[in-house]
Amino acid sequence: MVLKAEQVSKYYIRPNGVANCFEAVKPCDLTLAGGSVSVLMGRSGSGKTTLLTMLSGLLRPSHGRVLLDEKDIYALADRELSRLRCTHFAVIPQGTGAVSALSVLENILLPFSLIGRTADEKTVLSVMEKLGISHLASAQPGELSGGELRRMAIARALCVKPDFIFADEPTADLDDENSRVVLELLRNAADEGAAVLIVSHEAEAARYGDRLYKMNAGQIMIP
Amino acid sequence: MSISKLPLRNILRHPGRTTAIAILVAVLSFSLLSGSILVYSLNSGLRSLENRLGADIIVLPDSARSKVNIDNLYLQGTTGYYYMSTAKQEEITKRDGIAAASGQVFLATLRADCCSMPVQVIGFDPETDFTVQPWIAERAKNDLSLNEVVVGSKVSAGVGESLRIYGISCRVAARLDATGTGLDTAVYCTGETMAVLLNAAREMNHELKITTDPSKVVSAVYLRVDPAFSVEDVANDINIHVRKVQAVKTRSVISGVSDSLGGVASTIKALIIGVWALSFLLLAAAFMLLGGERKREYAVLRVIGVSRKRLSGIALKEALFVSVLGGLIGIALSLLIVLNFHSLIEKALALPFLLPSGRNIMLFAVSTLVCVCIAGPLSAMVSALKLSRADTGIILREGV
Repeated sequence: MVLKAEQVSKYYIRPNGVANCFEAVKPCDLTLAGGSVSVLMGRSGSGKTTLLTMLSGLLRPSHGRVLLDEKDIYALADRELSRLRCTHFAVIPQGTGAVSALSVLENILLPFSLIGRTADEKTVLSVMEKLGISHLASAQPGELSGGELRRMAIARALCVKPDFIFADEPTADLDDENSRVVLELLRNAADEGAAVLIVSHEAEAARYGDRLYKMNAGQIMIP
Repeated sequence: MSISKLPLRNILRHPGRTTAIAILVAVLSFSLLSGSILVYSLNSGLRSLENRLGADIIVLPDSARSKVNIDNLYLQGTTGYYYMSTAKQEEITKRDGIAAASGQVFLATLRADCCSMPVQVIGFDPETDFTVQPWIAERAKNDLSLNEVVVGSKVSAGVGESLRIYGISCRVAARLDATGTGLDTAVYCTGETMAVLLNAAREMNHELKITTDPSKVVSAVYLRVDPAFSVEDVANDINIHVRKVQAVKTRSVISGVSDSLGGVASTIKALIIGVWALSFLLLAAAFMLLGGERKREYAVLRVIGVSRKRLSGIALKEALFVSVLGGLIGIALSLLIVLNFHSLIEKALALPFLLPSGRNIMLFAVSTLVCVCIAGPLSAMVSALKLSRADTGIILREGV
């Protein structure tokens, strides 16, 4: 599967700003193909997260198209796009992304109930173990640290074995050892056939990528 | 864990939040059910009073005014006794425009071993009566014989039991349905039995002030007016031409009650509307605040592939579950209070008050539950729609 961004751009209207139209992402092209890790680097506010959310079907671009096997994902109805997100995409959002009423294990398994597939217990346990959260399976999100919540979100994304993984600052809040584990797991996922996009401002992430992109003031550049 | 169980899990895992919303919904259901039962009971009481009075005019001796308030006689069961001779009844009956007339004799008991309260004994003439017998006939299979009585719903004596009135043992032949008025504390017998009771009362030094034969007195004459005449004219005619009596139009009794009832019912309705409007706004505000607080959580659900429709469904289902919980609490409280304290409410309102039947109360309770189950999710609708329509990318970008 190939995901292609064609001249996608995003601008926001600021109600009280001096320049009331702010272009977060300038028209750009990008292709994500299975079996590769793309790393998007750049300073804070350069438009990395905006581009990632547009590619993952979570934010409609102001202009341009996002094509999955030549099919514009934003031309789909919300139900179809949601279905596509749950069957083919996995997003690791910034910050803590947990459903507070569910335990850590239930949070990780939640996407399976949407897909209607039974989770492979061995895979789930193995991912949780690698991420060092297997002992937290029955814990509530409220009892976890920021780093543990982050690893829970990563486990949730990896366990469903999606075609595309969008990881937004996956190593933020993590120590060096855990950062290395996370990046290796993402690399492994790509090696197993997934297309991985890592958005990061940490240089370490670049070592795991096949392609490196830099973003500056909404503009994408290949270094 | 299936995503369909998420609303229930959200409720169980956040007891503080759930309790706060359930209390608001409970206020809604409590006010609706209590208000509905009160208004219904007042209306039933008035209808029953209208049905039971049966006559167009009641003629009382002048002395009655100083002893009893005619309205209270029917509404609060105020006991009274006053008499005029049967000759007066004949004089009244001869006036123009009277289609039917029947005398009744009242006797107030101060100490009847049957009751915790004084009762009014009402003696009627089976030959001419048209006001009491129609509804006694609904309960008593045969005509009443000597020393047999029919009791109102609040008199604590069962059918077949004996009731001692001024030393006379009277057999209870039937119990009447509740009317929500003073008639519920009355005991009914024929004029023949009443004469026995009057004699017994006189022998026991009860100050009846009857100088003649007890069988030759009446306390009130009930009149049905010929449709060709106006009730007003007939009442005026009696008041002018028959001495020492007062003709009272029953319609004026009922309309007085009806006016008071209208006022009370309007106040209750206004209160229900006020409480509902306020609670609904508070609920909507609570769901809105809650939505803001859970924006990030909803965004996570969108990220993993929950559609807008399903997300709204989760939010509305959660609101529905809390509404059912709050609704049931409110209904239980309302039934507990209204059913246990209806006598106090009745006394405080001083109006005919007839509680609905068990079946009707159930219907009211179910309707109330349905109403709050619509109102709860409806108040959460704006918040749910706003959340599901929010751009997930923007919420994630905010990085809450």
